[in-house]
Amino acid sequence: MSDTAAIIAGIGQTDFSKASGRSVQQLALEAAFAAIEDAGLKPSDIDGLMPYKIGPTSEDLIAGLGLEDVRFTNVSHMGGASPVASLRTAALAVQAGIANAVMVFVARNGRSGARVAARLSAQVPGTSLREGLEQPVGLSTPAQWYALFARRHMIEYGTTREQLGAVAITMRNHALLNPEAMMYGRPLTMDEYRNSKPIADPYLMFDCCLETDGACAVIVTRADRADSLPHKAVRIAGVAEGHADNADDIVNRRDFFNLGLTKAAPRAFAQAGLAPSDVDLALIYDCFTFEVIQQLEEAGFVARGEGGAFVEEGNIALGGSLPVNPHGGLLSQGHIAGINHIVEAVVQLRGAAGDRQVADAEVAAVTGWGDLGDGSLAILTV
Amino acid sequence: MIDLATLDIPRPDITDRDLAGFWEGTAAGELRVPRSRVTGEYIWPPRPSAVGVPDFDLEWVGVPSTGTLFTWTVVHQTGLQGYSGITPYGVAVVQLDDVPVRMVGFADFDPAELKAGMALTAGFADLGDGVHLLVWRKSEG
Repeated sequence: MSDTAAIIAGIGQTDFSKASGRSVQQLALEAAFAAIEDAGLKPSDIDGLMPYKIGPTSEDLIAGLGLEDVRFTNVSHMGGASPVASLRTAALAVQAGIANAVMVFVARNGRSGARVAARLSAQVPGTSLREGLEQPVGLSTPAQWYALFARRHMIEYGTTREQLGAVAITMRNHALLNPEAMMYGRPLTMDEYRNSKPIADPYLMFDCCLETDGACAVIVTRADRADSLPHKAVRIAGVAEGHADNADDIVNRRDFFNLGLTKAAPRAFAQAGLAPSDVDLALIYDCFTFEVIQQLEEAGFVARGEGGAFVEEGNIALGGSLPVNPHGGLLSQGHIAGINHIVEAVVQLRGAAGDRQVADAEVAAVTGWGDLGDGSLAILTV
Repeated sequence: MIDLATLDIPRPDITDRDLAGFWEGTAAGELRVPRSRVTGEYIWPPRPSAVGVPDFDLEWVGVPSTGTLFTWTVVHQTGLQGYSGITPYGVAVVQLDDVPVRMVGFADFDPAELKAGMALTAGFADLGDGVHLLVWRKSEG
């Protein structure tokens, strides 16, 4: 019987910087060519494309790669939850026989070009609520929206400034092991964290992710069509998306902390036949420090309210019980809408992560977070 | 207190079909929320219909203008016009008394005084041309 499991066959990424000096179309092509080579394929093998909502399009890659018969394209509209959700859609496409090899990609000049404020107005849901009820009273950015979660968690569960800082410092320590990280060579102390400039209390500058120029691409195909892969195949064992209650408005959620991930996680784990305790490493969408704590709780790695102590005790560091973001994450490696988390999961599962390798990594969980708490989770295995 | 009318802040579209009833309320000095005659539920934020039930004939009803501080942020950095000149300022999410509604408003006092559970009272900042914004002030006594 043929093996119809969806796998990730190839990964590619550019350098990450504050100023790439190249067009986003060039960045996308660089990552795409790298992923195709990594998978042992030729450009013409790619017959499906899944771009990000903002940035280079399928048409850009069809033209740039010289693809003659792309038969599947699709765009997920879930902000930073999109790349992981796209793995699910790509898996469906290859398993249904609609396409043989689907490339998911994100390319952006996120620092030197269109920065986060400009991208937001093009993608956040509930525009009339944002423009009517929030912006006129001074509320307008992800840092400010998610600060509302962090502050409430502090009120209900006693989560502390130092616990947020532990996330920032752990991500930075990981980046010190990754020469490709934007913050490589730049250690961060708790004092430096505490003294960093306030952005949206309780968030300080070092609670906030980086803005990055760069690109990543991953290629999804079927196990039975990948008999000559240069690298170990990484299986998409489970993947799901979810949406918070009251999805277009954070303020009035009855269960204030529920996320898309809260609903996606049980589905993804069930599909994989695995539990949170089976996971060797987690790639958590760390747009801000508290969101790591919240997602560890909502994905089921720890009970709600226990995430702060969990990170403070060192569990998420390399060598801890659940290493998180060995590459340094969005906080210290770079921010390519979280698709760089998928790339890192594959590198780790191949055992190719060098100094930051998680020993015997066989099961990785990758979360996505977007917009007002849309969520996705992929369970990847070797 | 900060007079928001002196700042060139973003103005809401008070003719927005789903929000107009709220702005009519703030102009009259009260908070109003749409309620379904079918389910009896308050619909907040305002939506065209009762949630999950096809009832588009909602009635706008007055709700308490007092509540307690549920969560907040203190904005130190913003690109919003007008507000960028008055940082740091607080934005308060207030759980209204007696009804299952939380409303977000400008915190019209020293943000260092923000404290979980504190009692707040709605105020209405007159921006001119019929626009009255919700601001939260410390309740007396």
